[in-house]
Amino acid sequence: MRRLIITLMVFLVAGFSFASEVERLVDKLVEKGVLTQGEAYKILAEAEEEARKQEALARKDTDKISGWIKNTKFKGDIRLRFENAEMDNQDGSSIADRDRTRIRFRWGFDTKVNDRTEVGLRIATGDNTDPTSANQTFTKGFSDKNIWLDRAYLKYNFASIQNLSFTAGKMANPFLSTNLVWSGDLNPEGLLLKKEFPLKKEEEKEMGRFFVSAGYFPVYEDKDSITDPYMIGTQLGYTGTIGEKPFKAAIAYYDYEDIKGQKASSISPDFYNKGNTLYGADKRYQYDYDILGAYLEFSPVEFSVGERKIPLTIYGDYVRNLYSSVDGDTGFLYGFRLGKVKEQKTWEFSYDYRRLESDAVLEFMPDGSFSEGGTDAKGHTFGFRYATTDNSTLGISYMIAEGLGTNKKRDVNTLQIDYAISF
Amino acid sequence: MFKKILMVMTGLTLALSASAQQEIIMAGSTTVLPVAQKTAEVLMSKHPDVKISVRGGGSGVGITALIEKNCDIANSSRPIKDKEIQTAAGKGVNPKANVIGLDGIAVILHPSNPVSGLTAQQIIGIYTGKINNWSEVGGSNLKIVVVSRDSASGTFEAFNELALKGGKVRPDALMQASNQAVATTVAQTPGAIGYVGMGYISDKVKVVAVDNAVPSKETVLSKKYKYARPLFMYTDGEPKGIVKEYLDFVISKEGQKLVEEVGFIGLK
Repeated sequence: MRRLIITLMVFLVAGFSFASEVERLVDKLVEKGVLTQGEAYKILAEAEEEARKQEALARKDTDKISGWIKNTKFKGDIRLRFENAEMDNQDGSSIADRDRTRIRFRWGFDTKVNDRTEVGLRIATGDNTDPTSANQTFTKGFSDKNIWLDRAYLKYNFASIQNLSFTAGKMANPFLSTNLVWSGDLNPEGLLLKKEFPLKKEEEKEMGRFFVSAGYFPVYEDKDSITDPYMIGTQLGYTGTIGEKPFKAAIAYYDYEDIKGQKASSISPDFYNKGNTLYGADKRYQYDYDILGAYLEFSPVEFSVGERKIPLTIYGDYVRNLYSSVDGDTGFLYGFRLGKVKEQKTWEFSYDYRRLESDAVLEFMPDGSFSEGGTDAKGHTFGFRYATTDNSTLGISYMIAEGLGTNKKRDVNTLQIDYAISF
Repeated sequence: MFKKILMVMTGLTLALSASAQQEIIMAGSTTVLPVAQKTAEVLMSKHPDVKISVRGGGSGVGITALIEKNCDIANSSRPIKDKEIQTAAGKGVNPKANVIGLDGIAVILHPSNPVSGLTAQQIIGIYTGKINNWSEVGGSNLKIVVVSRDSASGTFEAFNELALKGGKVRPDALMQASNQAVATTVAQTPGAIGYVGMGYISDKVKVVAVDNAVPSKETVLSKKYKYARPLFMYTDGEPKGIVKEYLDFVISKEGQKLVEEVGFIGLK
């Protein structure tokens, strides 16, 4: 009987994760006099050794895999979209509404090559080289669709200076903003230096991080000229909490050089004439863009519904093109989000209002859906998303966009119904 | 002709009877050595057909012998290392831990030393070279001579982990190849400090209290004594046949009495 108990104990302690419970059970058996203290010691020590052996053997198997493969994380997502756009020309002339079904597929990996260096790659679908969208429309008789290089970058974390990193290549957008300024699909190309300053309230708990980013981003390479357009982007900000409430804030300055006079079709061949002021038959940019941006996001309240916490997040964005004598130089957005999509059955509802004047930002920067992308529009966006499973969401959004009339003379109401899975 | 046949028959009978004798080879820890020797001796006296040979060499040597399939039981005063488990798996060996008793690593001084207790922190200081004279810990003005085990020793590794928390033993320490050698050196050197398994405590050395506890059955089992550890006999997989018979004997009431007789703590 005693032997049976000992065998059973060894099995329990070695085989299950509730080892501390079994330890208590063993202690009880010692108290009751079923086991001696020495036997209890033996049971637990042998079980611990067995568990450690299994861990060591499991590690042995993973040790066979090359270091960089072990440090590689694959990520992807797929989104199917039905879209309806109702369009009205402001001069009363007719224009057809539009329905389309679209797919966005993105897949890639980030890998740690060594302690300091990371490399990442992502491929994505897309109708064309439009930087603001990776959507591919189902069209042209089941023809095969393109896959584009969406991201390819390396990141080096300096050893000598903590929290200082250098990123080069086509990278995830490092600048904090809403899609008033930067489309969520846009991945800038260039070099970026970023320094973070962790803020610690206590020894072990980090409240958040201040950061400063500065980068050089070529915009166009003109083989016939030495003065190619580029952007110097800098941002100073904070992400973390204030009084334990999530908080983000940032001020940015995006200084585009030598845009004025460039052909819009050269700079963004598949996405131009979407709101910026252009001149001439070959459509050249009338202004330069020296953009000041300010961004804020704060979650001050959390409502309790049953066991669920429903956060309320408010956010806002402001931009202004400081280049001289620009008429439509300002943009702003304010909105809120109630709830947050995370695991299954969670949801979020969002609303924002925006006004983006014709030359507040470059037209290839903002969201590609609102008012068909670009600038010179204002209006409302309503959105609702629901997590049908842990990694899938069903979403509906409706955008009411009115052209401001400087360069965009069309109103567009857009309905989007999305089903998305991330993996 | 008949004489020749008789000789061949006798030879064959002897060979067959020799092969019928069962043998266990044990190697490893010098701490576990007295337990292994004593229990082997008693079992062999009960079963003359069983031959048990016991070698020392240190826990590392024993585990290597088990991995190389050069012994049936590896005696060890420390748990097998992850790397050893992985090497063993590569050679088709599945080391199974069998705890056969408990031990407290006793910190010992020369009997003439007036110091009777040290704190765990003072022991770290002495072994890592921060404390060099007994007067710094309440003793007489005498240079401390640090005696330690060599790196193949399980006691060295256990002491390093339990007492020194991974700290590096001072380079001028006298490294000894066995518990007995440590005990002898300390017994003969007035300023010496060393550590041995409980089985090597004798009246020729003085056991010092660590954080007010000396190693004993009570302090080890209640975990009051900090430098406590299990003693292992590792086998390749679950013990079988004569090896199982031997290990069953070691953990039996009679075997555990022998464990206590040689100075360690029994499981019963």
